[in-house]
Amino acid sequence: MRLRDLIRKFAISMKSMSLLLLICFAFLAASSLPAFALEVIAHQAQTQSTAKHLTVRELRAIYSLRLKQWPNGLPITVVALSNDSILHNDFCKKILRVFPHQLKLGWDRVTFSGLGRPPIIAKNKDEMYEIIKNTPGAIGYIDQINKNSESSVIPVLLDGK
Amino acid sequence: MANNNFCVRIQLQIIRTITAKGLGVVSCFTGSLLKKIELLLIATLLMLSTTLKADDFFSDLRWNGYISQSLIHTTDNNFFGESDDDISLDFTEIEFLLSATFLRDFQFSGSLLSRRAGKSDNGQIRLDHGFITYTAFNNVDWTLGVRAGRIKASQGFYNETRDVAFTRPGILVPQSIYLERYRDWMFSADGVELFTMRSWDTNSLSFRLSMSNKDPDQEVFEELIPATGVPYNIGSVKDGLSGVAKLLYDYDTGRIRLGFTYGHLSYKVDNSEFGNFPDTKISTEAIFLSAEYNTDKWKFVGEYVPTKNKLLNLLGGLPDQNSNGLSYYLQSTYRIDQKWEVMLRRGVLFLNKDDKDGTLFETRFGIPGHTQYAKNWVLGMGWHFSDSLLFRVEYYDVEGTGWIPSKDIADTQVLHKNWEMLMFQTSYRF
Repeated sequence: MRLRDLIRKFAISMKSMSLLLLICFAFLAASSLPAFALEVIAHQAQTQSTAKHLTVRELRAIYSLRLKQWPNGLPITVVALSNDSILHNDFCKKILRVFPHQLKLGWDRVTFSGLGRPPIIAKNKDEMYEIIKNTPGAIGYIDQINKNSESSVIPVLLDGK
Repeated sequence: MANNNFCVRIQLQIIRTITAKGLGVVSCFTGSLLKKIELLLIATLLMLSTTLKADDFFSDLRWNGYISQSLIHTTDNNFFGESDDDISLDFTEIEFLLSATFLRDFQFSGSLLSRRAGKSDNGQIRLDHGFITYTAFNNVDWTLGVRAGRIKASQGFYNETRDVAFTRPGILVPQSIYLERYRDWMFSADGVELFTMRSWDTNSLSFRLSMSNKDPDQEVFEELIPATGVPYNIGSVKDGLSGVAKLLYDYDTGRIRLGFTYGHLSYKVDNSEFGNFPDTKISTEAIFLSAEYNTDKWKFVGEYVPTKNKLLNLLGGLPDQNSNGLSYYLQSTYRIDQKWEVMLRRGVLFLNKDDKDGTLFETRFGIPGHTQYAKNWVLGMGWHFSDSLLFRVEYYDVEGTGWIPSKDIADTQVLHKNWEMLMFQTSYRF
């Protein structure tokens, strides 16, 4: 009987300990996750919607220059920052899950073989925002959306993998 | 918008000026080629000029390009100019590309290229490619379309963008497969291409099928005839048909790429001016097996190309030739950081795999056997100074002279079997 009690006590303490550990890990993971703030944005273009929905797969197809039109037929204008930019690296690695140099090589292949149009490379985040604001069909990304920003720029909400 | 239109007008003005100059230079070309180039260019530019203001019809115009200049030194033998114990600056590439979308599903792509490459290319401005793409179907799963005009042949990983330093794996495309001496034969021709792509989550499979007809070009044809020293006659080149089928599998957004290309290229020569003689025919069938593996730091590429070559009914002393060629290369590139990379490549070329060291060839024709193969090591370094500026340096250690352009060879007897080459290249894109 004693031995059984001992085992039960031990099991309970192990359970609570592992729960505690789990909580600690979850806390650690959660605190390290949202280290980057990144919003995908697009021009509102002919719609009254306040947000656009895309799957990550669609976004990847757009940034690989494979998907060339929005569902309403408007050509997609891809806007990106240069490979030096931390934001662009975050966007490639954490959202598209592709190496930035690999993505760029793909762009060069498409552009120089004449099979597609090159993306517009913005000098900085402000220029990226300006281009998207003024170009129907444009898509890009930014590290934070100004709540008082132009209504022609809307967030893109990413669904799924 | 007004600003955009203004920019577009300025760009077009630049292109018009370039084109006008280009056509001036090109006018020394022969009749039919010139007509085609002129017609296509003029039609395109007219179309672009007239549709500039109609935003509904014409939605986007982009232009870009690049310029590359190389510096070449060889210990023996010339490569692209007088490089033997000297420095040759005769390798320059300048290209302007233009692309425009119109009527939603159509895209025009065209480019003007000037290329100097020793005696092989004299820098004349020419229409490198100019085609219209119609995309019939394009969604996240499927793409289907067709393009027509002067299209590029898409053999292997690099043929389509072989002139662009930024897409090449080094200063030159791997010479064992993409021989500079056969560039004009392998590159662009007037024809049609069908393309389709199926995409899954992070993977895709694409298929392209093209048929094209190359402009008759006496010089390109003559580069294909083996330098045997045996005199021959040829009439006028009439057809240069080519067909390319390419399957490309892309796994995990480019982490692994696998390619299979089948290409058939042929030329016919009309010999009727010499009497009742059959046409001379030359043809090559090639299979390109290509594979690439990428990590964040490393890139490994390899391509393996067996070929079947035929030369029939050449007038003169040279009998019909049937030979099987074999070439391959393996390359690894290490990215030290975002700016610096080093690469090592091993390339092997046998023009006739049944006579790998050219002994039979030498016995038969008295021409050195090393003209029939080439094996080389290439060690290189690249510095991506910025997104638009790239510097490269490469050292070649070569045994054999199989990929030296024949125009760089004054006399095969004075060629050296073992030679080295040092190259520098600066490339700027805009």
